[in-house]
Amino acid sequence: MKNKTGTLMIQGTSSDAGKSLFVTALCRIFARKGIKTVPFKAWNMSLNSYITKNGKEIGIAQALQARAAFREASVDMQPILVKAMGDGQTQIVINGEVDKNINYQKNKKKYLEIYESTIKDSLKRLRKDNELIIIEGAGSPAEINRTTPDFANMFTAEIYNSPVLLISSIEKGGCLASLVGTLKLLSPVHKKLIKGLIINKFRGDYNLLKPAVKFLEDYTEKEVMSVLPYLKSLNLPEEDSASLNLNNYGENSKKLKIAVIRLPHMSNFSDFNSLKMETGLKLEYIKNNQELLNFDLIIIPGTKTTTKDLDFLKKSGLAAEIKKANKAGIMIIGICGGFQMLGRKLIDKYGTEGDIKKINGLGLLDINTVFLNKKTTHQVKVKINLTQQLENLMSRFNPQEFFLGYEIHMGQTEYLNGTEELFRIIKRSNIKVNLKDGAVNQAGNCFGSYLHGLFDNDNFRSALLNKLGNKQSMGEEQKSYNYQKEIENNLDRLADMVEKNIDINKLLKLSRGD
Amino acid sequence: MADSVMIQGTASDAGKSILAAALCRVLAQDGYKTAPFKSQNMSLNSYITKEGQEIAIAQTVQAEAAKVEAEVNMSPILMKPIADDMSQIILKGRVFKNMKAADYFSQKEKLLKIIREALAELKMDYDLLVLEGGGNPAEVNLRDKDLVNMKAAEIADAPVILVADIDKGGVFASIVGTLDLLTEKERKRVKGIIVNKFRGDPAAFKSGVELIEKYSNKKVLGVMPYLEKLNLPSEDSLQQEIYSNQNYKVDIAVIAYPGMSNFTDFDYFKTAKDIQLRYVKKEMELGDPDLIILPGSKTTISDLEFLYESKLSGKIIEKAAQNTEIIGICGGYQMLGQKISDPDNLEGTRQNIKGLSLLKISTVLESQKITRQVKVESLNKLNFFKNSQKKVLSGYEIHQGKTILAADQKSLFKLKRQKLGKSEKTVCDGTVNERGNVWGTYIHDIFKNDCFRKSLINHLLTKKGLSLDSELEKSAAEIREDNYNYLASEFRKHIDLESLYKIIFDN
Repeated sequence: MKNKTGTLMIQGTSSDAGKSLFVTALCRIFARKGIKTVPFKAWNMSLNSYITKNGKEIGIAQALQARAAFREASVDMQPILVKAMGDGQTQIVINGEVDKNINYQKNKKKYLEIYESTIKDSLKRLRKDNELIIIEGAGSPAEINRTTPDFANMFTAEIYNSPVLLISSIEKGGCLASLVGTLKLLSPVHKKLIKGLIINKFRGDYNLLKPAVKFLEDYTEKEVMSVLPYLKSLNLPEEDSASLNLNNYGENSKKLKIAVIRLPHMSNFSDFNSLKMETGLKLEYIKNNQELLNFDLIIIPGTKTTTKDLDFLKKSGLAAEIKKANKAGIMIIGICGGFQMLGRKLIDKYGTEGDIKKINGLGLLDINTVFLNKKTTHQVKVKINLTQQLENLMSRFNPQEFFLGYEIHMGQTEYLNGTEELFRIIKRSNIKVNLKDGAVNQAGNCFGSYLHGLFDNDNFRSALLNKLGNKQSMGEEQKSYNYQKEIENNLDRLADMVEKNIDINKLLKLSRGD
Repeated sequence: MADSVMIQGTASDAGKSILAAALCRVLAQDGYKTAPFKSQNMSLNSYITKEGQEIAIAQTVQAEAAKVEAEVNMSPILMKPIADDMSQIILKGRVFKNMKAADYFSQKEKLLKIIREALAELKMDYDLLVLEGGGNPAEVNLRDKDLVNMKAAEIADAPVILVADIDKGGVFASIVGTLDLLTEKERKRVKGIIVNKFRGDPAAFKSGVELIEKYSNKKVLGVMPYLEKLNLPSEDSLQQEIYSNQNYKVDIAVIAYPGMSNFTDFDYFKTAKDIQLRYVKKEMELGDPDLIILPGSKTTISDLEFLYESKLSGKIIEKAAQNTEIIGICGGYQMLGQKISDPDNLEGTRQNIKGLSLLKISTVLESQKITRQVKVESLNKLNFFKNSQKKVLSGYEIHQGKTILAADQKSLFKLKRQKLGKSEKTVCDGTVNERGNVWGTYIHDIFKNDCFRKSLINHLLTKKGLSLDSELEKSAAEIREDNYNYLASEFRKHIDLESLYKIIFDN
């Protein structure tokens, strides 16, 4: 029997054409019409990743798209993830796990085979269980200097002859040329797969654009399916550091000032999205050495290359500033790689993180970290360890309260001199466990954890911010907003805006090859 | 007659302006008397030439790179947006009138004549012209409205170099698509391609260069790297909202109202040690700066309304009472006064608006626009500058308003308005409040004067009990020069100059 699952692919004329947000919108639009929809991106290059229920690592954009489709994120939605480590080095995650058996640089043929079969198998499984797959491409499909198949774009489209919509941003001009040029550079087979064009980020007088739309349709013989407006700040987690242009979120005179150290290979800065959306604070990314005494909280985020970035912290002088700030009583939090950096020693025998085999940490927490060849990736459920220090830190937790997050790390941390853990992990990838996570210092003003997504827990975030706020003796206890609800609202708003500007039934028919 | 070359781009941020400036400096270094040119500019950042004519900042920067005096022919049409679909049109450095886009394009013949004349005059006076285009030359829906790309190239008979940005991907498509959408004649005019903003070693893009040449039939003159360290005035929009220098001690807040103009006035603070420069749009963002600047404005009355609506007005008044330093430049100076009237409805229907009343002045808007370079004298009214050795500062005026001081007020400066280097007329300018912490002036670019800027920073530091680092800082002019030379050396390193010269001279 013929498989009735529809597929629709969105490709762009460049990397900031707006593919990801458009796919997110389509996932929500179709899903709320009751169509069982999933996102798919074969190949993703990003340092922001998410861990699925089964402990598999995927790009964060597909996790958000899955959520838009009311689905649990799975590794099949994003089977190949490439994480850049600088200096041309990459870590390749296949089916959610680091594949270290193959040297990709040396064994090109083998790697092409693995890529091919991985992508085909994932897509096949998704097709079995769903009514509609919305596929996202990467960059431009017309990079004719590439020497390997364009896995993220036309290779994927060809598997089921998925209809492709080509999206281009008109914001900076040259939109027509990019669309025409892309079509011109595609092979006839690939060109035929393109079923429509989308002009994105339009603002201004539509009457001036009308002749261009007509021209495009006549000249390319492709229908312009939509002219989408400029979608303003939607407060959805961002994928690329390219979109991290603005270093400051929130207003200057807000009560709390939080500094996030912008490490060169900072990863999972989506962790701070929930803080960014708080109205009572200002979040600033710190790149260069500066005094940090004006902040109420300093966060060292995760990184793809912990030892290298720790070396950067020291050389830039920021390490000394962080220590100075902590001495002055300012709270320091380390997440994942940032947590490891807070300890005494970091040992990397296998060179997992770069060339540095051994480096001293900031020494703010009594822990050591050893990097292994194995990557730990789990969704976890934790309970807070209510130690004396923590009582001091945030007294409001109910001992029964649990938090959710996910771990992505290659280091294992040992506790020295009776250092207390921050959390007790009670579930890992849905299996009951009883393990330590994180650590807290004696004074209760420095702690770290492996947990990504920690601040997305409203009660944790709320308690932390209230504690910091009280320290400044300003105002009463305030309940934080509901992060999950806010994300849901934003997804609906996004879907509404897109739905208004496109013929959804036409897209549905197209996806089914009707 | 001068030869010429034109830099066009595949999109508006391809890097045309910067590469035109780079080429201007290279040509100047090689001994050619070079002039920059852009037929039509849309910007709220303008400069006043020696003759007292208003032109775009981008061409001023390029002229500086070419080591020549900026003149009106380099930027003969300037559009200063004042509303969504309305601009003040400046023709040959003088206000023509406010126009809607459709009316503007109905004047095409008149505009073309101006462009032709400007180019003809430049060609007489210089060895070489470097023209800059706008946006993408292949916007087919706007073809009959083109004055800035192929139309200008045609008039100047300039060969065109197409610049494409590779940073975000899609570089092949944007080049091939642009060439494809040009007419045969236009396509012939494109003689070379530059790939811009390449991250990494440009040599790694060799196969890409070959493919571009194969598909476009045009020579790729080079691959320019992404230049992170450049610090030159940006014309169109604020690149960032905050510029923090390491361990800054002084926080400067510039109020960024919607019609803010000439914000390049404050570029000199971006590289100054000890300084954080912020552009502030909301009351909540103001915080507790050491200096608040109200910049120039194209729409003073509506921007003053914005100050009231956003409640920034109250905050500014509060800060003034707390002895924070407040400076108003041009439109910002007018806003600090007691009243602004617009009897001729130049800015809209509102005839009167109350000012922040921090200075005892009132302003009447008038249709006559003053555009003059000035020599600033009588500098002893500002406490922090009273004892300076420097007796004359330079700057320029651009305003359509006359400000009257209350009877008991003294003016701040004496301005000698210049025309062609000669003093034309001496007028009074600006005023300072009794306490000395609030003052305003019509002079743009006053902070370019190194001694003045340094004295101000020192004054702000002293107010906080700090002192100026004794370390000698580079002057504003030296920093600019370093940037032009750096640009030129990168251009020489990555662009096939021999072929470029051939394109220019064999045309």
